[in-house]
Amino acid sequence: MSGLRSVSGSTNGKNYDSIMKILLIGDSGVGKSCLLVRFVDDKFNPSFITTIGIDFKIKTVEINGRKIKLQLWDTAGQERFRTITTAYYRGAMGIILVYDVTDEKTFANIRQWFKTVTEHANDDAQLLLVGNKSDMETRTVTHEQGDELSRELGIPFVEASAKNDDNVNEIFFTLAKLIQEKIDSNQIATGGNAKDSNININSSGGSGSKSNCC
Amino acid sequence: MITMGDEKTLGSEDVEVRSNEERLLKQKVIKFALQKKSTALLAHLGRSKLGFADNEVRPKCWSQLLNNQLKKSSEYKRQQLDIVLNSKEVHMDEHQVQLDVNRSFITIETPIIRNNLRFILNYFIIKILRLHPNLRYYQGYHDIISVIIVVYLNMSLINEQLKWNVPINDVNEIMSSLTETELFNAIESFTLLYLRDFMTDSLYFTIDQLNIIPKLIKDRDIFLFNKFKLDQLQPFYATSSLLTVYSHDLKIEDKTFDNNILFSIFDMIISHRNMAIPLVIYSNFIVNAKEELLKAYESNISNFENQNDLINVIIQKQTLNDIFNDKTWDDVLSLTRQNVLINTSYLKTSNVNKYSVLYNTGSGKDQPLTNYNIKTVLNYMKNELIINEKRKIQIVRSKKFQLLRSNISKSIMRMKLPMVYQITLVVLLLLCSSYYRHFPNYSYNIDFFKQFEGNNVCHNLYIHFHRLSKDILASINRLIAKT
Repeated sequence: MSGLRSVSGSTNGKNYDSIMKILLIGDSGVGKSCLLVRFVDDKFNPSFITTIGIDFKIKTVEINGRKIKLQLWDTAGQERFRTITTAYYRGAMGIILVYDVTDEKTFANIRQWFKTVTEHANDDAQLLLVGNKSDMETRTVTHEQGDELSRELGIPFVEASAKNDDNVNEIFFTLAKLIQEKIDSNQIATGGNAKDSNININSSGGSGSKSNCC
Repeated sequence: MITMGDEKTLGSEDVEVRSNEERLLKQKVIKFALQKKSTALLAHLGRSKLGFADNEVRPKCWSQLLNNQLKKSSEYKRQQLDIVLNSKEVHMDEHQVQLDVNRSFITIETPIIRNNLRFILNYFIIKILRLHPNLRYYQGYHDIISVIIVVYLNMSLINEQLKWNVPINDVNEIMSSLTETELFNAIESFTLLYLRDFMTDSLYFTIDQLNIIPKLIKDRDIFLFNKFKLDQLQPFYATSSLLTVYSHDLKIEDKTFDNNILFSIFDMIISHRNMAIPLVIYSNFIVNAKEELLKAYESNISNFENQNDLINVIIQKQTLNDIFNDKTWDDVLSLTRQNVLINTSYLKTSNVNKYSVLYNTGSGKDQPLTNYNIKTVLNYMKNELIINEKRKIQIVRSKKFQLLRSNISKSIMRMKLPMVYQITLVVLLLLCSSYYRHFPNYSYNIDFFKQFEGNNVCHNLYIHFHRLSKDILASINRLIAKT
């Protein structure tokens, strides 16, 4: 159930160079959890369990020699759960908007999701559009349509298949790299500049190399 | 009341034998209570350890109690039949139901059996929605209905039943019309008595219920409450546990179709007539895991920038850990049994609406023999839907209000003015808005802000603040004059 992994080996009390909070959003059944499970656990189950409320996984990746801890938040797709899930948008550095290429309605709803993001997320959060289930022959949304929408919204676009493991790693690595670039060019600060997070925990607090949870 | 001795002195084998004996004994007593139609005795048995023991007798117990708690007139039942037979009207949530049904019973490994169960699940959810079109389906409802179905179908016999090994097109191929009726009645009663609050189109009432958890913890462990600042955190960690009565995580086992812990939670709710039980259980999980939570807190403090994220994650993960531990369940359930009634003062200080299940059908008060007429309960639902709509409008208004305010402050910051002036203007804006917020009519507030859009921001703000400060000065003068 838990996808939590701990990374061992540290010299400075921390086992990573930076943390990135990333959210997956999109309509119910587009495959948000499947993408996440494929990325974190390298597994696929066509009838993956419904997400109720919010779920959390973590994976540490290496980009340009730097260890980056990805905090991945998986959300329920049904509209009513937005009351809960939008509470987690705060402080997210990356947000993945997922639709299903075999279901036009989920594609049309991306605009609504985009609006929700602009209302609740930090202005400088990096967004990424993902068309999942690209392996399916019953596709109704073309690659061009996805491309067009991504240009209109001004965000990068990837088509992927959690089932065939196509482009899944690319989603997360592309996003992490883009965020890293933003951090490097000082557009966003590493210390977290959440709009009004109550308490900022100083990352230099240090932690044991083995953690109970994350 | 049946109690267990101290298990620590026994070997695990002995414990198994003993608990099996205990189960058989309990079954006998339950059969006696059923025979005597003694609802009070049944409720008493359902509340104690092991609940209704097993699925041979459990459906009969549930039906006996639920039919007693929710009275449906024969006229209602006739109408119901008519509606279902004639209704071709599709409920607006049927697409969502399909999506979730397709992801249900994932622990059942035989594809034909799994698919047949999904067929049955879909059938009953659609039937309840078409019969009560104002109920809205929520993700997680399917988990609860899955549990009721497995209990009523007495799945332990499934392997001997050949008819399960072919795909079905009609529920009658698998169950008698008597079973269908009993099962549907149980689903309908459980839904209307206990799940009503969750079945609007929003999560407002769900969140109201969740907010009771921190109050329960505060009473039990003030240190933990303060350390995690639980009053400043929305208890979203417990969302799926509450919405699914733990059936999202506690799964029905493959082959045996059993999960006695899960079933006994349902036993407790029904025999106490108390929907606060899932909340009490969750608070017990948290208090019980205090040491682990404090440890997890210390070792993860540097992994999160946001305190709320941190607390939510450690509580959710710890509880998920505990949910898969039978020993923890023993502790938590026995704690819950000792202290099942929640103090009504929690309700008074909460936002829970007065038609909520926690105030009537699932209040646990005058338990469990109080009965409700279905008309009354449907009326509660109607009132809840009205309150839900009102809340929605309120929230939209206050969002508009905040958006306008933030737009104005942004436009102030964009003006070519010295920093000091800009800051002064924003402070003025905040002062004015908090002053005007106290006006009961929200639309007035919005109008108030609209006049600041555009170029006259400084001037208008100045005038309003001038007026405001005059009022304040005048009242100060009055005060001085009095003294």
